[in-house]
Amino acid sequence: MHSLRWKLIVGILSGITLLLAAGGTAAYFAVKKRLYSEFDRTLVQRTVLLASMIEQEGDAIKIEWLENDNSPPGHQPGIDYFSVWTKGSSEAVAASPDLEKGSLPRFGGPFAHPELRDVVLPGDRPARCVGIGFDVRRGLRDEEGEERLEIVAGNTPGTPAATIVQVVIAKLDTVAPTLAAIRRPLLGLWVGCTVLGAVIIWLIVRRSLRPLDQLKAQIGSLEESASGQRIALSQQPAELEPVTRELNHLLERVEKALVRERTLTSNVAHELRTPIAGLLSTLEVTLNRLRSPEEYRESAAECFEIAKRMNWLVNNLLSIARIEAGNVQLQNQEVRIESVLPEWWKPFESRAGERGLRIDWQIQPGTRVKTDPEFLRVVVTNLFDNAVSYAPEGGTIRIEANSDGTVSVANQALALNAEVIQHAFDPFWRNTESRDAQVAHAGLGLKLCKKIVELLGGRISAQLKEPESLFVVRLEMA
Amino acid sequence: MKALFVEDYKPLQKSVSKAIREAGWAVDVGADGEEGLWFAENHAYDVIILDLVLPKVPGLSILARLRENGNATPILILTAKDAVEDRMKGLDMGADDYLVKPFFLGELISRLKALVRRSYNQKDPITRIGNLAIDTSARRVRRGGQEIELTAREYALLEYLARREGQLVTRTDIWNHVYENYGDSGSNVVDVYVGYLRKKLHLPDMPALIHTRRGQGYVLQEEKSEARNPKPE
Repeated sequence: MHSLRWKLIVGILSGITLLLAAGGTAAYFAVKKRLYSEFDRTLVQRTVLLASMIEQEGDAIKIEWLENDNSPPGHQPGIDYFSVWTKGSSEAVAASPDLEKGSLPRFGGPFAHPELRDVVLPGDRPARCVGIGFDVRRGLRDEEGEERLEIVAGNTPGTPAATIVQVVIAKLDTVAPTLAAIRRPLLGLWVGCTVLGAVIIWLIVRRSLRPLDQLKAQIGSLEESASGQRIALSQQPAELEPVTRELNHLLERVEKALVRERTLTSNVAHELRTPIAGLLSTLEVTLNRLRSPEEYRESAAECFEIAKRMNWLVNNLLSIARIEAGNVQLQNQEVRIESVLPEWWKPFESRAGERGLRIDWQIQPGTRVKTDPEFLRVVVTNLFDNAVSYAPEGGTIRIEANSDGTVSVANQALALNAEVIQHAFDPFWRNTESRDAQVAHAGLGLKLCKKIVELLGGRISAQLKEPESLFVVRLEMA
Repeated sequence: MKALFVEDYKPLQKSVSKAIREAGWAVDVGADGEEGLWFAENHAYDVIILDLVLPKVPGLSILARLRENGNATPILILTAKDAVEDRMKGLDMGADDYLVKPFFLGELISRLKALVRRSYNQKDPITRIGNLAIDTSARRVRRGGQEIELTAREYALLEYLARREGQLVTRTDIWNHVYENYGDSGSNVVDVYVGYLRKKLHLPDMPALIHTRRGQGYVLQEEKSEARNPKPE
C-alpha cells in the first residue's frame, strides 16, 4: 500500500539502523585495533627485554632467565610461550615446556622492527607471536678491561650474516575473546536500538499525522446539503494549511454551483408548473360537463398550444444540459444565410401574422458562414421566437444579415430597460413586464443561445437602443 | 358570489374563470398586477384568487396593499411557488389560503366556497332560511322538501341574498356580487332577476321570502308579511 506513514517509518528506521550499524562497526574496529596494538606493544617490550637478557660467555650462550626454574620472569604458563635458537642448532635450545618439545616457528626481525605473526598453538589456540633475531658478539673491552656485550641487530648491513640467537615469544590471543565478549552486547544494543527506534518513530509519526486524521474526520462530517460549511484552519500544521485552504475554496465553489443548480431546478419546475396547471385546468373544465364540438375543438387547440410551448421549453433545457455535459459533436458546413433565414422563419409566420407584425428583411445577398447549421438554427429560431412573442402588436421585426457573418434581430420592447438588458443572458431571465403567458421562456432561450454561440466560437450580445426601445440581439459568427 | 382572479397566464385565466362561472359565480379577471389591484380596489368581491408572479405589480404587493387599506376580502394565493417559506410569507401577510400550481379545479372551487362560507360565518354548506334549504356545494335549492329549479344567474342571486340573510341588500351590492363588470348597474336587470327568483320561490301556503324595501333594496328573510320594522343595519 502506498502509505505516507509506513514510508516515513520504514525510511527513518532504515536510516537510523544503518547509521547505528556503521557507527557500531567503526567503534568495534577502533577498539580492536587499539587492543591489538596495546597487546603487541606489551609483547614486543617483553620480547626485547627477554632477548636482552641473553649473553655470551666465551663461546657459550647464556640465557639468564633459564637458569632459575626454566622460565622467563613473569612467565604465565598456558598463556605465553617461548622458543630460543642459536646459530647452528636446528632445534630450539630452549622452549616452553608446554610446547612439549615442539617449538614455535623460527623467525625474527631486528630489534628496531620485531616481526609479528599470528600463530596457532597446540590445541588450536590462536596466538600472537614476536620474533627477534640478533647477534651476540664479544664486544670491545671497556676502560676497566671488562668485556662489554654488544647486541647488534641481525640483518643489519655490514654485519655478518650469521644471526646467532633468535627468540620467539608467543602469547595466547586474549584480545579475541574480549572482542567476542564486546560483539555480542554490541549486536544486542543495535537490535534493541532498532526496535526501540521503531516504536518511537511510529509514535512520532502517528502523532505528527494525527492532523490528517482530524482533517479526514472533518471532511467526513461535511454534509452534502448544508451550506456555509468550512474546515477549521486553526491549529493546523503549516503543511496542511494550503490543502485545507484549497479545500475550503473548493467547498465554496461547489456551494455556489449547487445554489445555481438549485435556482435553475426550481425555475425549471416553476416554468413547467404553470403550463401544466394550464393543461390540467383546461382539460378539467372541459370534461366537467358535455360540451359542444366547437368547445371541445377549442380546448384541444389550447392544450395543443400549451403542449407545444412545453415541448419547446423541454427541448431547450435538454440542449443546455447536453452542451453543459460537453456531449455534442459539431459539424462544420457552409451555411447560406440568405436562404436559411427565410426557411427558419416559416414556422413563425402565422403567429407573427396573428399579432400583426411586419418583418423588415435586410439580408445582404451571398452571405455565408461556416458553422454547425443545426445549432445555428436553434439560436436563430430562439431569437425569432422571442421577437414574435415580445414585439408590441402591429410592430416591426427587423432581421438583418451582413456579409461579415453577423445576424441581428431587432424589435421594439417597450418594457425593457438597460438594467434588465445586463441580465439578458442569465439563466431564466425574464423581465416581469414581458412575462406574458403565451410567451414564456425567453430567458431560457437566450441562455441557450449564449451557450450554443460560445460553443460555435461566435459572440452574442443584446442592446437596447433608446429612445425607441429597440431591442437588438446581435449574433457574430466567427 | 363574485370572485376576482388575478393571473397573467392566458390558458389559466380562461379555464379557471370558466369553471368559476359554471359553479354559478361571477368572476372578473385581472391580467396583470396593475389591473388586478384596480379591480380589487374599485369593486367588491367575495373572494380574490391571486397569482404571486405577476407583471407590473407583484402579487404580494397587492396583498399587502389591500390589507393595509382594510380590505378584508378572503384571498387565496394560487402560485407555482411551493417553498414552505413562500407559503408562510403569503399567509402571514394576510392571505386566507394557499394553493400550489398545478392544481385541480374541483379543489380550487371547493376552497373558494369554504372561504366564502367562512367569511359569512357559515360552517354548514346547507343554508336554511325557514323551510328553504340551499345546498351550496351541490347548488340545489329545496323549499318544504320540494326541489326548485333555478338558472345559474337566479341561483347566484339567491345564494348571495342568503349569505346576507336578514340584511338590507342594495341593487348595487347585487350588481357587484352577482354580475361581472360588463354593463351599467343602472339598468333594471337586477329587478328583473329578483322578480324571476321571487316567482320561483313562491309556493302555495308558504310565506314570501324576498321582501322589497322600496327605494333601497331587498331583504331575504322569513317573515309572515311584508316587514314593517326592518332590522337595524
